[in-house]
Amino acid sequence: MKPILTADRVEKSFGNLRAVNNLSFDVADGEFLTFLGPSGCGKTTMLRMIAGFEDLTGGRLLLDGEDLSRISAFRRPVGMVFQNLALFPHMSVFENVAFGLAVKRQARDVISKRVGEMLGLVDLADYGARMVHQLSGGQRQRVALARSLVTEPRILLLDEPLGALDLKLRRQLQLELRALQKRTGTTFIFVTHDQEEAMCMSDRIAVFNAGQIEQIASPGDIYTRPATAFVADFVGESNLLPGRVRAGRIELDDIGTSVPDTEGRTEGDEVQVAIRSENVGLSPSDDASASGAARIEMLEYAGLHSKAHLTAARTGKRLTAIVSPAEAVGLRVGQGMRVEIKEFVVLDR
Amino acid sequence: MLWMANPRLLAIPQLGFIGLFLYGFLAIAWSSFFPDGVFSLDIYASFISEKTYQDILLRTIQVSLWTSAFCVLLGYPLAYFLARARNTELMLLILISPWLVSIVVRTFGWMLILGNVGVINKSILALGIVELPVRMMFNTTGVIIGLVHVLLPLMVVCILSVLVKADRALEEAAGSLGATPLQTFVRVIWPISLPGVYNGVLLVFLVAMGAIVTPILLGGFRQTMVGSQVFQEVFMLFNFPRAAAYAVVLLIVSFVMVIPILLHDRHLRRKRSS
Repeated sequence: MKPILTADRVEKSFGNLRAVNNLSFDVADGEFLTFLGPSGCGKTTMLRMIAGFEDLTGGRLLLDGEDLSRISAFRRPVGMVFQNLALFPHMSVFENVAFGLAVKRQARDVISKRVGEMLGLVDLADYGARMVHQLSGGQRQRVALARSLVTEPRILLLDEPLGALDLKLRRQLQLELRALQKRTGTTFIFVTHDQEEAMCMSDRIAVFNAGQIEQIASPGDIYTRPATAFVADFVGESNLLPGRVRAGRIELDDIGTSVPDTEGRTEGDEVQVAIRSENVGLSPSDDASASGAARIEMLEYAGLHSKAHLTAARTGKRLTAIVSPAEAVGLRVGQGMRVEIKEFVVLDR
Repeated sequence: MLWMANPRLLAIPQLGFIGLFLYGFLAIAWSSFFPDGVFSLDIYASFISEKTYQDILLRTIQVSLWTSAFCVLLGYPLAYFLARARNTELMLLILISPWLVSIVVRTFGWMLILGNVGVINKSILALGIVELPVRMMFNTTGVIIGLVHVLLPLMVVCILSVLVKADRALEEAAGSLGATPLQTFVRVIWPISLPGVYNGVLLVFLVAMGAIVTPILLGGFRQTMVGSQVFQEVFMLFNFPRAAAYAVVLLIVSFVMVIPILLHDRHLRRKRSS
């Protein structure tokens, strides 16, 4: 199927700063794609280039096969929900949502009908006459969404729109956004730095780091098969241990055990092994100073996500392990433990 | 600290000033109703019956309206670009700098430019664009030019104060919804900046209505505005009661003329914030 949007070697520099560095990717029609990454990684810049608010300094952007560089922002069939929503303060809810239709000089009854439908879709059916300042945070969110969707854009861009909301509201709106996207079938490109948010809403996630995309895959793949150390560390919690290939196994010096090498790597190669905290198994060590041991430095009780923070006996490397509440009760600070690796990912980069 | 408990107490000094002003004004107004010590409405009657006085008032209103209009026309684009300039503060300083020079000196400067043998007329005569010098002084044209020059920064500051507070993303939001730059201006930027424009018009209009120096220096005493007329009455004709009557009429007319703006501004404020 032809992608709705193609980025072809896109670059954006601000003077000497390379904000976006040679990015190429496709966006499928109707998918929920998230740009995930820390502050300053280029994800918002990329989003703004798709919207048309920034010019590219290199490469091309194609929408339905057509080069966007010749089309100015207000002519692109691309909508955007801004970080601070940017609702028009001098207009009512109805007028805000109707704006996209009013500027196209649609007939009044058409506008009335479409706005009514849209407000119904976001659960704000009776709020048409209210002014923006009379709405709560969650309600403003929905107005911003309705406003951008009423023009039926090909792609809707969302720039960290849930950042200003409290946790519970955010969770609720994440689910609503997801449902809304499925119902309208509009392609969404969502920008966030919150990896849990990305994981729960997206069809695919593009992990950004310093102007590059480290990996673009489904949430499941990103989590279980991170392509790079950055992805492994940014999404979820990982322990990164250096390993050396020897005799069909990868030796982990820090904890004195080894894991099988299923890829048949070259003898002597040095790799990084990423182990998620929930895949670190702990069992009491018979001898605290024996190799394969790590010592508990700190215990964190947090219900299901209780953690043990350890240091490897041999090298002092820090490890984190998730322990069940039942296990946690039997652990003590200073205790020596044996470490068992349940699942792992080998990173070649 | 007493005023922390009740901030309204801070208004007392201001009320003191207003009180002093009211006292002074009432004292002057009194003399207009009691010329020669006897109650008489003759002066006011002559305002209504004699055309000269009506002309003066009408001229004052016209000049003030034209001045306000030009200040908006020239001041709005200026404020718009200043709001987006990278060093707004520096630009603002440059804009305000003429105010550091005395208004009398500046107006004299205009006389050098606008006079019959001034810079403009000399140039256009030399270039052959006109045959006779264009009268730009000692008429309302000169006064309008002078007043606009003096009051433009006032208008710019009023509009600027609203524009800098406006969210930049609003323009982008309008664009993302398909509005052309013109539509964005008409439907979003202009309505939002309107309170600033109202403030500016209010101030410029009222100052222009009561202006004295510029109408005298650039308008002369043959076609006076209320300000220059009052000056003439007091310092040349020594007719204090009539001067006072002019002041009273000016106050009333000015107030009546700005009521529409005040009402709409209040309506907007009620609508746009809780």
